[in-house]
Amino acid sequence: MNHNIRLRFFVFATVALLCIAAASGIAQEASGGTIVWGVKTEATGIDVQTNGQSPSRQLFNFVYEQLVDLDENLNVVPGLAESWEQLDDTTYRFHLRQGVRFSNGREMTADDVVTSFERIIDPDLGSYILNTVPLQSVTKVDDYTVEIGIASPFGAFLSAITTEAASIIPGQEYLEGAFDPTVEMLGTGPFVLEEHLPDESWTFARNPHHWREGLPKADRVKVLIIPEDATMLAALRDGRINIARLESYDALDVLAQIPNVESEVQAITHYWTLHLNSVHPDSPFADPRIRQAINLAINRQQISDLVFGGHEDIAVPAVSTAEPCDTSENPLAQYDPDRAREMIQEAGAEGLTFTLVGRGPSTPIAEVVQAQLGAVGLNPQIEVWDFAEGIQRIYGGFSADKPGEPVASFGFNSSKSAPIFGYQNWAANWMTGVSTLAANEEYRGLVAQANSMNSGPERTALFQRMCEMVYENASHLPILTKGHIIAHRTDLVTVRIQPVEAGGGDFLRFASEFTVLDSE
Amino acid sequence: MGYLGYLRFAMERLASAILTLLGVSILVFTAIHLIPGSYEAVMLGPQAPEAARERLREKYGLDDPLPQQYMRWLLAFLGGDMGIALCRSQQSIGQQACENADQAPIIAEFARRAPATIQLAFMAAAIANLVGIPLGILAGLSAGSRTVRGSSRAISALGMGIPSFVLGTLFVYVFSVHDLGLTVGGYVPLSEDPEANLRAMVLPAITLSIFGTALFARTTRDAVLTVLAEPFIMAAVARGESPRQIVRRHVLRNAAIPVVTVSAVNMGYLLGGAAIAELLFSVPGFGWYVLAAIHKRDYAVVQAGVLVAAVAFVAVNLLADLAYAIIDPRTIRRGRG
Amino acid sequence: MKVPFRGDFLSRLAVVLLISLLLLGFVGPSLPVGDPAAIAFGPRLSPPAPGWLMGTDNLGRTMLPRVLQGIRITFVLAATPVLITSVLAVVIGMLAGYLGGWFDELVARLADVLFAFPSLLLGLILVAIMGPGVRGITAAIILITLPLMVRVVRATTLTIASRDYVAASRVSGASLARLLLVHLLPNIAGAVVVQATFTISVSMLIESGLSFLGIGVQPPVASLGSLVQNGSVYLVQAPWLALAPGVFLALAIFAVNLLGDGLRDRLDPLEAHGLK
Repeated sequence: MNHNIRLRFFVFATVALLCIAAASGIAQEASGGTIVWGVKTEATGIDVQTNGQSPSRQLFNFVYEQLVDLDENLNVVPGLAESWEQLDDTTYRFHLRQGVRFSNGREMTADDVVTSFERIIDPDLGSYILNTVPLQSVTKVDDYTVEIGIASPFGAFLSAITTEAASIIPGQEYLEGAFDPTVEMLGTGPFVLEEHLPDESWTFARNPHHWREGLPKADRVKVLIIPEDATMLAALRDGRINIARLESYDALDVLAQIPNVESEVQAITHYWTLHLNSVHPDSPFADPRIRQAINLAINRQQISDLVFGGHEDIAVPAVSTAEPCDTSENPLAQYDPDRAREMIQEAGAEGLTFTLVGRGPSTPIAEVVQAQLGAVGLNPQIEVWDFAEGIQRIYGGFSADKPGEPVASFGFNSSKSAPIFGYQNWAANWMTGVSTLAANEEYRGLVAQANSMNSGPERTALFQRMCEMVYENASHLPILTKGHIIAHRTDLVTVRIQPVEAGGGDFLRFASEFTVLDSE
Repeated sequence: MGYLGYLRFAMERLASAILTLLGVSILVFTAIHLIPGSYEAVMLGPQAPEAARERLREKYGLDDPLPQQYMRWLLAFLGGDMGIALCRSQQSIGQQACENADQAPIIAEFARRAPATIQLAFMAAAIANLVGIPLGILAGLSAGSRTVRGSSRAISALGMGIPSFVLGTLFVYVFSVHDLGLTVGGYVPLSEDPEANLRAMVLPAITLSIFGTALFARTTRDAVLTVLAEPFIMAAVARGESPRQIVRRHVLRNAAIPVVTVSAVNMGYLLGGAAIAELLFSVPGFGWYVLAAIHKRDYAVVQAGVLVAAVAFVAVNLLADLAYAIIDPRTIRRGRG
Repeated sequence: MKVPFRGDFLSRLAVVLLISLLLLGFVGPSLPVGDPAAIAFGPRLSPPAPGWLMGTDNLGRTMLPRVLQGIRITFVLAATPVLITSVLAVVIGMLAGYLGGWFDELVARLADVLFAFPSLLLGLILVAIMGPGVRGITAAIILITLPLMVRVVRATTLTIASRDYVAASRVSGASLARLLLVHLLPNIAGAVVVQATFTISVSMLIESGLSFLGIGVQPPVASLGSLVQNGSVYLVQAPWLALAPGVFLALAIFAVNLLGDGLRDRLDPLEAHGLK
């Protein structure tokens, strides 16, 4: 009996005490100049030159920088290189900015650039950048000049090296063994890594040697890992975090009701796609008419309304870049369920049963698509696979002899910083276990040709033809754009967030410019 | 009974426990290797060339015959080396692969995360004991009243019936929408900031304690009722002992055995339930870490995690057995029951 | 027992609840309540209204048929593995308890190993091996609940087998099968039924836990556990999505627990008073 009474009193006293502590705690945080950012997933590794996963990449922008940068229109502008020339169609010369220092105080020179690029050019490292651009060589010309060579002409070369993998790491320390990029972060960026508690938080402090005058404005950036949206919303509400990146589109409605919060959906050049395996001998999608019909039967607008609250747009190849494909004249790229039904009957595929794979966030999309395909006479059955299982089963042995399973599955593609990259992904070797487009000679030829060209009407014509082929082959169906939901407390921070970004990690690229507002 | 007899009993139990743990280690090793989707596929993703995947397999000896891999792992584990987490962080589930680079020794990762889980389990068990047992005694002693009897049965059936995630979700909803002083998320270590820590831990602890409270209440009540029906209670009353004396001398002591059993059951529940509470309330604990490792095919972490949990469970049961033997020496003779 | 549970209000309540739930789950879907899979039937995330009595979910599906279907799925997914477990446990446990010796040792050891394995992890690993969906969940539940059932059967067998009349039958030359089926089985049946009832509620908890972690039945079919999981994402805007299935789930488990209590008092009075 006494136990219970005492226990109750203790709880009451504790709660009362904590309430008082909480009130004073909140007032202190805001005036310390710390940007506190909530994210859902933890970074999987910190080697800037090899880790291509967006939870890691978003952190890299605090610490590392590249030779060139992207502006708000995704055009290339100077970064660590002040200027550059193209010497011939496979060599570029860069003039480095002087007085740039790493956070340990040492000045960056051409040697650092050479070591950084040599590391990523080495195929043993396995950096993802080699899949995008054929880097071949790097040479020092003098202390502030380097030349970078590529194996074949590549029009989007400059865009390609704005990616985090092309970051400049401290060469001297790396070669001496004093710096190991797989376990430490050391760069020229506005912040320095101070502390990392796995699965809890990252703390970055101001880099005193950063070359941009007056930046960063905040003293610190703290990244908190909060897996559940509800907790994230609560933290935003109490000011424990001042910027949040959320998963759920419905959170936007809730956010609208929280005072002092502004939220938006930032477009990135990613988009959801539906893969239809056209390579496997038993594939139900062997007949291209069936694949094309599936594309015609999908009502993207309905998916956007139901799953994304209407906030995402219909995707086409190279969507959100400077040159999205124009599909208005393409009859295979419209929403036309009647035509879909006809084609399915022509192909004798009424009642065709197949597996439709959803993985994590694409599961609700799968549910809607299942109903839409059911309406035109097909019979998809949903299976939810997890990531590890999915890779093996969907892509198979990455070749036509070892194809992936004959299923339909959701994934996503990205045009990153230039339209060519999205098209290029579909000609990749590792796609040959999934789609016949990857091994298609004409398509590959077009990709290689477009790679070597600079922008202009000829290249646009090539993009147009490649886009037509994508819809003819219909093994990869662009569905909807995939944006980021970002919310911030307007009374706690000022931010600069672009309407479009090139990649999953870039939305805090301008974090050095964010200011923390004092609470009165 | 004699210390020798007790010692022999304790030795037998210990040997039995070790055998069980060995069995668990073989089981988990076999099971996790049966899961489709290999480690190197997760690590490198589809873009990597076949050669890179091969190299990774060689590096970790993943091509060696299974029994060999098992022995290698077991010997290392016994030597205190739980291996290296192949994946640095486990929390990201879903579309993220993991990078091999920074290899954290598992034992260090466990040690880092264990305090949060231990604190959570401790708090939940404490609540269950401190609230459940007195409730059960009360219910047992007032069992003359039909209402008390009925309602205590109903309440314990309900308490054991609400899934922890339903209750947890409700708490998350109420406490994240309304500012009531307790936080959802926002864990800091106890040593760093006790107030913030308790504020964040109270809710998950309560969520986890409901099942245990109901269980303890029910068991204690049943035990009390049973004891009260025994003839020696009648004798005690006849002797003129006061109710308080009766409760203290006879009831509590005899009701102890079922309560000890049930502590072990509650422990098993907490080991599993902690992971879900950790997920819901963003507590960076050990349970969620191991759970997520399954998605990553991080074999080493899963093996180590299952074994550690099994050790904890077996240890608690062992202690329970030894405790019985002290409370009621007859159990030694009865043997395995 | 002509009038079931005469004089025991709670057990009658349990029976009434269970029958209502079963009716809702198995008969309900045949009534004109709507199509559980029809997306965009109504506006998404609508509160309960004349066209959709339990509101709509994030894909515009009306919740009423989904909850009814969920009740049925939850019961089927819980009861089927328990049935299998019970049969397996009876066979294994009886043989172990009766024959003793190395077989008994082996069974006891294996049960210990399985029992010591943290159940959630065991469930996850099994589902990972067998794939999510009905097969994986069923296998997971069977393996998690088997050890305790085997122990109960074995312990009861030991108690009964030591009785004189069993020894007498053995001496008089009865075959093993006859002994087991005619003498042992009817006597342990009571304990088995009680334990099976509680195991059903445990298995509902396991299944809903695994569904909550996203590896339960595959969409668009949903059990009460996966409905709660889906609904918990929208808790702030649409609390009815998680509340309704959550309440039914709690009611179902509650009713099964009460039923188990009642059965225990009647069928296995030894256990009821902790005299085992």
